[in-house]
Amino acid sequence: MRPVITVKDLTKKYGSLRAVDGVSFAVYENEIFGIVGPNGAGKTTTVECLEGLRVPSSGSIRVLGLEPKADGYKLRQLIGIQLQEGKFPDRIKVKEALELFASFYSRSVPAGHLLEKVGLLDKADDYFDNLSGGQKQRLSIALALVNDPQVVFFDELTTGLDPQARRAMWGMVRSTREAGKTVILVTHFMEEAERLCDRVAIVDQGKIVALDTPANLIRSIDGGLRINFSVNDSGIAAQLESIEGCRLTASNRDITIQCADYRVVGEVIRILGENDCDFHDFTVSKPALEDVFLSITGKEIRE
Amino acid sequence: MMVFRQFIKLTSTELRLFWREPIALFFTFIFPVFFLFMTMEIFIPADAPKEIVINYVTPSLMVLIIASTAIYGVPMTIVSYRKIKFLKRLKGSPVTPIIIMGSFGLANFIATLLGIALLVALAMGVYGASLAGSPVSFLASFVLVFLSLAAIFLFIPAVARSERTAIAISQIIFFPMMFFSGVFIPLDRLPDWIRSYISPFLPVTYGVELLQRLWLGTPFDDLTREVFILLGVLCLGLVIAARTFRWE
Ligand SMILES: Nc1ncnc2c1ncn2[C@@H]1O[C@H](COP(=O)(O)OP(=O)(O)OP(=O)(O)O)[C@@H](O)[C@H]1O
Ligand SMILES: [Mg+2]
Repeated sequence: MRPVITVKDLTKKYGSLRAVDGVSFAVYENEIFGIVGPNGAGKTTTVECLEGLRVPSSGSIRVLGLEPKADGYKLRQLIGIQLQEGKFPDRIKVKEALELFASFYSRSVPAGHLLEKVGLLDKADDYFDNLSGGQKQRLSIALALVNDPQVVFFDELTTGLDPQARRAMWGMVRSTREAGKTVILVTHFMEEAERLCDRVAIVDQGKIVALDTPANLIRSIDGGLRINFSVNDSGIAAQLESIEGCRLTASNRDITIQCADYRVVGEVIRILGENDCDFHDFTVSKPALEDVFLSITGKEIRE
Repeated sequence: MMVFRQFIKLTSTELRLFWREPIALFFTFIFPVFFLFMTMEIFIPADAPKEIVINYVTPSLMVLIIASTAIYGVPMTIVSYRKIKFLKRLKGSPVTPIIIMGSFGLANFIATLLGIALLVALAMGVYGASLAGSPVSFLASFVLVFLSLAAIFLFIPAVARSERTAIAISQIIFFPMMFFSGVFIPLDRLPDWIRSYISPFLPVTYGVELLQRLWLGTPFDDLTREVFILLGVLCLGLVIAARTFRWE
């Protein structure tokens, strides 16, 4: 596989703060590469160094064989950018924004084609201000694709959107990849990374703490299954804890049990039944990327 | 040629956006005309010869339009575009900063020119104003006044982070500037101490001086002092802007 982006020992300091602290990774052609981590982890700083919008303190970056700062002008012809919380003037119409950005590039995709792709065809004459949150993000996607880029950067594309709009965005990210592009997706939404990304870099305090496919990352943590339920009398916890191969955490009346196999599930239900214990909201789940993050950093990611 | 296409598209888009901005339209078209009629009908003594007074009033109101673009229009646009990260988004495209800033400048210049066309048409049609000097040197000086004022007030978006701060700074600057530089009140009617210690330090003063004298027929060659001062203001403004301008 051919690396499209290579980053070596990238560091970005703001005063004494190391926002990005010695990060190295490669992104391969046509993959969706996720960067996840909590607020302030350095995700945006990292991708904006790749886009040439920020100057690294040290380290080396190659994007499509170009150095983002020195060859910025050439590189920007080839990449597409969506900025975190980036907006457009209130009174610009959708199609005007597309025509404006199309005029910047030596080659561009026809506006109608792009609008159709992101589902904004009937909004072409609407002001940016009058679009819904999801429609604004659709426009950002269209503008990021206007030059038919080889690499696209999405930074918090779905933050603040409702689940339905979020799913629509996911479809667009997938189709961007299917169109042969390489996608860098920054998010703090673990489910999004797990569903969309081929590989994920987990970033915390400026460092990459894990980098692999979502499946491998999940496999790497032990704990297997996760059982959650609530009880009225938490006294039962002591008995449940004695089940072999079970790790129990109780907070108030909510009980979480991590275990390796389904046999434990049967045991738990048996003990609850034998003790006539009232329980509700009983769920059994496999671990997700969310749990990987928790187990590696010891922190919950926001949301 | 691509640079040219980018420049045209940015300029025309910016002009359209200006056209959809009620406050900008008010300051460019309504306010100066309102002020023209107020001055001619109410502020000046009843026995003053209107056909003479109008030729003092017209050029100073032109400076009013230029100054409101330079002090309110351009800084506000920049601060709000920066806040929504539109400037950064432009910078992430293959457009050079010179193209971006140049197109903002040209769009604002065209808007100002339209406002002035309306003002001059009314001043000529209603009160018989007429340009006594050379139209070419007047137009060239007009461009100079626009550029130097637009450049020097670029410090506002450099120091103001939010729209509210920008408006506050603009307001603090705008009204005293208009009163002490001969726009609202002729310089010779201001107290001596203002005329010697305040007016000479306001760049707008030289804009009013230059345009008023040219309009009244003073030859361009006699106004080199004003021209050089405004050129100096332009250079200073550009240097400060280049050093302090923030894209995000
Ligand atoms: N221009 C700047 N000046 C000073 N500090 C900055 C600047 N930009 C970012 N930082 C700091 O660097 C750290 C990393 O910021 P960054 O925006 O990269 O985080 P992030 O991972 O994108 O977070 P979020 O999920 O909130 O978007 C933060 O502590 C932030 O406060
Ligand atoms: Mg961020």
